[in-house]
Amino acid sequence: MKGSFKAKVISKRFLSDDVFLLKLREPIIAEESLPGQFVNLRCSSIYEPLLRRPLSIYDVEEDNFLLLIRIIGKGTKLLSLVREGDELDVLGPLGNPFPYRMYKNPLLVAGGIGIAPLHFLLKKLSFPILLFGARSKSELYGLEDLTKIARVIPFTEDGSEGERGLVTTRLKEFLKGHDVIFACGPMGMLREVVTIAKDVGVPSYISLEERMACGFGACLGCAVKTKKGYKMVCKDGPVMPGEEVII
Amino acid sequence: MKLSIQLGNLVLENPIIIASGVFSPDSASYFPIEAIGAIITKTVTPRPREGNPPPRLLETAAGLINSIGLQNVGIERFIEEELPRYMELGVPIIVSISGETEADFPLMAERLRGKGIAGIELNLSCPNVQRGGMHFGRDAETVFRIVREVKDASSLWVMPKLTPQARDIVETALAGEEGGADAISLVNTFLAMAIDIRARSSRLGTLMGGLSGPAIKPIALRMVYEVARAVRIPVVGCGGIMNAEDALEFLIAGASAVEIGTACLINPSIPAEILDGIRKFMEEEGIDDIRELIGSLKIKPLDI
Repeated sequence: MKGSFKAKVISKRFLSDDVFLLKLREPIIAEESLPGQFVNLRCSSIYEPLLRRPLSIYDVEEDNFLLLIRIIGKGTKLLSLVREGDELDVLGPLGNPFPYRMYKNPLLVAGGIGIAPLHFLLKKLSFPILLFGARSKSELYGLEDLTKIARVIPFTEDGSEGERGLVTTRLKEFLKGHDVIFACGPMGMLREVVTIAKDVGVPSYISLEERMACGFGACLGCAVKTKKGYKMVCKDGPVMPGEEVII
Repeated sequence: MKLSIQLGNLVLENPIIIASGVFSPDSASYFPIEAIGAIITKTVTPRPREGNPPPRLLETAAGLINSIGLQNVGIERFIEEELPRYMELGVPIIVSISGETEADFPLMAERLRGKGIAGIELNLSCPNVQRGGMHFGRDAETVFRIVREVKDASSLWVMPKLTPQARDIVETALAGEEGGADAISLVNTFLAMAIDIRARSSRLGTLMGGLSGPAIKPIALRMVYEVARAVRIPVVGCGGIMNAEDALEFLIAGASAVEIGTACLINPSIPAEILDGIRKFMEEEGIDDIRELIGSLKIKPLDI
């Protein structure tokens, strides 16, 4: 039986006022996780909030795995209050990874907190190109570390770092010579990425988000509309072929 | 220690039943199958249903509103592809069925004869297309007719699942009993809403959804008590059961078994934890047979 794990909090580090990196110890999750997969974790030992929170795996280091978390509600707020040594109830790894072994020269596109699954993916590739966009410099989470493992082209809407503008503005140009796009970010960005990928005739894979309960395909709650009917983000995704998703 | 219970002529090893909608054969590896008394399938309808538009879920205070829309492959593909995979699990399988018209129910029951299933649960919390979308379970007469027609069409064990939207839950339960039901389960989800105040629109893909989880437990418990007191057939309690204490409350209120729904979505190993908790409680209380607990609520004269 695939039960949930008790993962011990190893460290917590804030990257900005509302974004933090949580390192958890659980050897089996660390061993089995692939880039693009997620874990579903409980934010408290009582049932408030009721549901688990699905979070992309940001990285794996030996027996540990890391999550990049933005505080957006009471669940993530509670997670931001955990301390070293606390134990969290974690189900995972769940979902399908990016099919990175099928392609030779992927282009990665991230928007803000959408960097989370792509960071893990970057580490499996050899110094790929990453287009990383955000509203401003403070939302280019972990930018400095990223430059050590990828050729990062930053974009900010306010021009505080890299090029001013959206991450997709020069996507077509950057796409030359690449055989696939792997992307994660806000819906508007993903829509644009998929449209451009279709125009150019390059496949795209996007990591999606939807309100979720079980995380393992039982409740059919996290539906997303695709050309083949409703698919579940937890089980058919979270990584899905961009051309199939109706966004 | 005896944990076995009887629902009419259906005998279960223990009183823990997986409620409809929270289990699929694909997700079986997450569940402690050996600790489960019976599994109720996701609701099947005569024809395939693609389900409701997203968002289909909304977390509320101690609760979950869902509007899945009975997404399923339809009875024919269910029998061909999914049912064999349920049957492999070695646990009694109760098939949850629903329809768009009253006539759909007996037709589906007939299709399920001779398939080795333990029985049928009637999901009556869905709109009756022929009666302006009113839920079948609102009206006692309708419940009586559906149960009787299903019993006539098949020799299967039948349990209507009552909706808390019923005009009178006790009257509805009695109608089910009179129709020939082998047991009664209650309650299904409570119709609920949530509004996005900026967009002035529903926070779900549909206007309304069904509320489940700890928020509904005290009301569900009261309804189970009232029904169990009124009918002679066994009652299966359901609604926000999250742990052994909750399950025990329902048994003491008169339920012979309990359905675990929402809790499985958060912790699929919960059936085993609840069963362990019940065992431990019985040990502490010196109770050898779980049936001693069923309906053991003590009522003070003033309460009546």
